[in-house]
Amino acid sequence: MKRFTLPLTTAISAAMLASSGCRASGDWQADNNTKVCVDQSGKRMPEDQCMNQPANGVSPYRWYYIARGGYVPAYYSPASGGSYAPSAPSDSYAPAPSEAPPGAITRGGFGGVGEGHAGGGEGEGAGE
Amino acid sequence: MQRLATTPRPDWQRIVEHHGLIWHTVDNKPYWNESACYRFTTTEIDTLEAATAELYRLCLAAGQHVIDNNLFPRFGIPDYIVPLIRRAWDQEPPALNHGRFDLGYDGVHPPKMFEYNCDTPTAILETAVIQWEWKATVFPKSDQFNSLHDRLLAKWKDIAPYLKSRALHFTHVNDHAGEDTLTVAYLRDLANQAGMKSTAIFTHDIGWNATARRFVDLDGRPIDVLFHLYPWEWLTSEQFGPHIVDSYDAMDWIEPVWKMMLSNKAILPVLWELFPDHPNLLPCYAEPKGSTYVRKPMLAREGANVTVVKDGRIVAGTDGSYGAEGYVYQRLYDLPDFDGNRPVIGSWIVDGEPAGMGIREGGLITGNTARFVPHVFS
Repeated sequence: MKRFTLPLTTAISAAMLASSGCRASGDWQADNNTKVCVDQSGKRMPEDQCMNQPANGVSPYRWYYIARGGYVPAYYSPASGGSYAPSAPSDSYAPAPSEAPPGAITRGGFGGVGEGHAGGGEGEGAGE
Repeated sequence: MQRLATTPRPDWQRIVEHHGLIWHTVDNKPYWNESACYRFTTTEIDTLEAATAELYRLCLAAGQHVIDNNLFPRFGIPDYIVPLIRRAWDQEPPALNHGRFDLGYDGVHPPKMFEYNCDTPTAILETAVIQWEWKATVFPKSDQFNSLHDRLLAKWKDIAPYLKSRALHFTHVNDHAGEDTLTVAYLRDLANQAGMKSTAIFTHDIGWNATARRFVDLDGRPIDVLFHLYPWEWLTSEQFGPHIVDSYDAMDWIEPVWKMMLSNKAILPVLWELFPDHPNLLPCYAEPKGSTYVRKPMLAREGANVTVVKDGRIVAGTDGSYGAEGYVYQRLYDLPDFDGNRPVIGSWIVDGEPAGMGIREGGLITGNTARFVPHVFS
């Protein structure tokens, strides 16, 4: 009988079932206490959104604190495993670095259309 | 062609989850439905296999016709990408060249093509792995029209020497249901088994290094080979789209950009124009003809924005955000009705070779509430 050897498929499906979602591919582990800027849906946004708060103090963006060893999400991915209140003095949390030298690399120029749909695959055709 | 009632395996959810199908239930209803199956005769399978090979032949001819007659404006394809489509069509860069024909079939009359999903086809895992495991347990003495796993694996091995690197990147959106994530995981498993090294990256995480003129991963490494479960029409409509041209010579795209022609439903009127009255085609036009037809967006997914018109009256329709590029009008095909269950055959092909099939059941329109039902033949 044919046997399937699918270690990635098995591991990723198990991970997705065990949590609310799989670890995003762009996540990395924080070396130190780290803070990321998130929007109201909890997705990571560029840090300047939190650094440049409006004068009236009302902003859709706020800091999300991730302890050393937690996972830092890539931009536009959901943050998890931390909290909106720091568990250590807030000045011990540094803003998360971007993944690549700033300026040379830009991201987010693909994926926008797909974020508005369920995904990019064509599972259901229009069969009549 | 029969629809049989079968007894689901105890703990079937755990079994299919183990093999990666975690989206087996949608809105508390099974998407993977093993309380039934279809049984075919060998002759019927031969018919489906031959039709699949024939339709691929027709599609290649239609693609050549689009190229030769510069029909790209009919397809809503951006001008800037057309030269690359022409190049890729001529050069045939390494690709899995896989796709899924959605067919109507009643076991009596010739199969009819609804469309060719060849850019980002899914239901691969269900077809290749899940239903085969089911057959091996439930109907071990029966056969199944299914060589998809073996053909995809063989194709990865075939193209490996021709790729710009053995280090491949695979991109998809971060879908919570897991369908895209695990479809890609499955294809990564196949690529790894074929001797390559794969890395996954969400589509929004792909970077553009303006200095090197290269797409890069999250570590800043250039992407040499990119498998994308993300449609070409989306890639080319987004901010980074023009960079595809800038970096085209430096990387391989799997699947190739020429699939923008054949995956677009604007190919359906071209097929009918070239092969009128072909037994495996349905009449299809750029304008409505007659009072009974199905209006389909040229570019759409998951059965969205489809309207079924019968005798001048709308009898079914789906919502969605597609249709901006225009529509095609295909003659309505009455799907066979098995006690209210209407099957659509998803017949797979890998580089011109028929590779098996999966069946989904729905209503008049096969949308995102369809169920996948396994099959056997004997």
